Amino acid sequence: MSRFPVSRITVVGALIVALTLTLTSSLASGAQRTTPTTDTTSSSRATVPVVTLDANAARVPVPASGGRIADVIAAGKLVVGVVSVDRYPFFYTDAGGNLAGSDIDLAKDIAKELGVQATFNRNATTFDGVVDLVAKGDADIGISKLSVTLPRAQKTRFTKPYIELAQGLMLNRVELTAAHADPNDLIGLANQPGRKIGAVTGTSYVGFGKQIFPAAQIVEYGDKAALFGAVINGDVLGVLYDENEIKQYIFEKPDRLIEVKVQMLAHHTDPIAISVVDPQMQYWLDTYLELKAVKLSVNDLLKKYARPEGK
Amino acid sequence: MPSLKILRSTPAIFGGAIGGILLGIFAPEFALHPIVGKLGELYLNFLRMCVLPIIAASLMASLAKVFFAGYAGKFLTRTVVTFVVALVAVSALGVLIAVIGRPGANLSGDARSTFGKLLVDSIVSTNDGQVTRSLQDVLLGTIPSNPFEALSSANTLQIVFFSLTFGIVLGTIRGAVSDDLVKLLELITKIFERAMSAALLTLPFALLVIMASQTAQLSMDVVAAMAKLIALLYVGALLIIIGSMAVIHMRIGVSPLRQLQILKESLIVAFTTRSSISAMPSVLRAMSDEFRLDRDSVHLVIPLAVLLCKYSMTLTFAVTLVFISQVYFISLGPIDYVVITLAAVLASVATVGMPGLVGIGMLSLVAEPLGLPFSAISILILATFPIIDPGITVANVYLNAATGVLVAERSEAEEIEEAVATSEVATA
Repeated sequence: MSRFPVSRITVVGALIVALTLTLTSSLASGAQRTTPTTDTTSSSRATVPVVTLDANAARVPVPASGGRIADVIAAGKLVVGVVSVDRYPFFYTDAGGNLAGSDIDLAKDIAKELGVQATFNRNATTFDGVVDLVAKGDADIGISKLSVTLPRAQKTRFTKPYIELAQGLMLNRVELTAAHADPNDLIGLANQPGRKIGAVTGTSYVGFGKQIFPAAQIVEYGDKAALFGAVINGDVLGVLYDENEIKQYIFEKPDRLIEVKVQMLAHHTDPIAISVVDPQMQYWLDTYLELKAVKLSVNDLLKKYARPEGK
Repeated sequence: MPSLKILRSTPAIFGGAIGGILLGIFAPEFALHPIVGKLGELYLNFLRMCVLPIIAASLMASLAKVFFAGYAGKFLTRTVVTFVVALVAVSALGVLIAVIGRPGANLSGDARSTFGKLLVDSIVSTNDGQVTRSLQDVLLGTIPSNPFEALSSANTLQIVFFSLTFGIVLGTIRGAVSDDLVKLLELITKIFERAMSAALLTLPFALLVIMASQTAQLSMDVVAAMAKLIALLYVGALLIIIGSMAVIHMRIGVSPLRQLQILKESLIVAFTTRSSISAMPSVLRAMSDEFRLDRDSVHLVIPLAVLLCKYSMTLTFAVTLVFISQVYFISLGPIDYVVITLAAVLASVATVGMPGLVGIGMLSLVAEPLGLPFSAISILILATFPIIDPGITVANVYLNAATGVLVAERSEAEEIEEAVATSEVATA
């Protein structure tokens, strides 16, 4: 059958959409970076005299106590590392311009139980960077939708997961049909030489992709707009990302389901946990998670946290 | 009973249907009440109860009589050829109107987001394609290991096979005993035809509840989003009806207006119950009593046509396959269109014995191998089907009647009419 899966106009159109999305998201994060250092819950305590030259790095790094419980209590504040980009519904800027989200609420509640104030360090621009902050002692703990991975576990400890995200595949329907896919073995189909699977650079999903699809080629994209654009255009057979990102994208643009098929992988989860250095702090956090029965789900979170404007 | 005859009049029937539609629009709480749905089910179940014995008994008896008369071979060949030609013609019509109408090109943003909302529900489940059985299963499953199981589970294809075998063998056994059995089978057919005919007295009430619950379940968003596809399928249905009218007119000289009068009851039952099988007994009566066709060949060809030739599905499938290629910007050549035409026929034959909604899943058997992604579109078609089903079912019944007219012998023997007349007197 003579077939051009996607017409030229669509490709150009989708590229423009992807470009616009990339531009707006970078503008948005730029705007967010220039907001004042309101990442502290109590502005009265923000007495840290740090001056930075770079306007983009105007965020005030709050010195941590080294993560030991006694030091945290003595300092009266818990420094929590959160990556600088927003990840709704975990951490994001709400309609009032305040830092909000389930990770933020979790951090505040942990601080409350310790009898201190939560302070947020958002200097890290990548998720790996948050783990580095914790490892270097620039943050007491990292609560930033952090996936537990072996490379990260070389640098810090992790608590028990407080949420387990399913890993999701978003597949191009035309490519899928052309490949004569067995709907019951999509992983087997994707894991073939020459198949291309996309993932976002700097996320744990690059590693997950190599692990689940060792035979396929993992193509990295700079952000999720480019990632999702690639699968819609059919540049890749599918993309791998977490349940939260995929569901959010689909809830926002349900019509994309005409082009793509979404499949959560039953046996591949993405455990999300708190990064921590001090063993006693880790034990305390595990006890906290257990006693408070903290177990979240994406569907609950998407329901509980109102989507911020323009998201 | 002149008072009861009012219930079979056109105003009563349309009154029931229109009343049901109004109830569905203005009193959806009432229309969606489970009891209302159950009442409609009750009526449809009664029709199904009567239809199954009619199918089996009339196939057995009429095939045996065709064998007795000695023209079975010629007759069956003509039947099969007519069926195949009609199916391919309907499929080609579907491809043609979809290519001209381009229902899948340039979907509006609104339409896309309506589709999206339908599809979001499907990502919760792990499997959004619904293959019910493979083509091999369909063909290999034709022969029942237990004919009574086939009857009790209403496995149409198996019932047809069993009845045809029974009829053929019965037709080879000459003698008074087999004549008696044939008469008994004809009596069974007549009993259930009469029961169904009596049930039509309750049609206005049944229509009220059936139309009410169907109207209340319609999603207007979907109607708007799929407007072009729905309109095209109704155009296709209309063309099939006009073509069938022409065929009947040319073959037996009955004017289109008179045809509509004769087939009125069948078409109304088809439109409202969305079931060609439910309309079959009244088609049988119209064909033998009004069109003056040979009762035996009518009783053989009409059940076969209704059961095996699902023109409504062929049309829907052909249009849908082209629709998919347009949605996904898959360009097709002339050979592709020929392949699609034949594929739609094949898929529609595979739906034999399935209710319409389940049958739609069978399109994936041909769509996926052709490289046309069907799983997302199947959900859109499923959502649209309740709206298109009445129209395409009417076209289906009309074309069944037309193929019947083409294949059936003219009624020559007066004795048949005499027999009918005496039986009318006897049972009156």
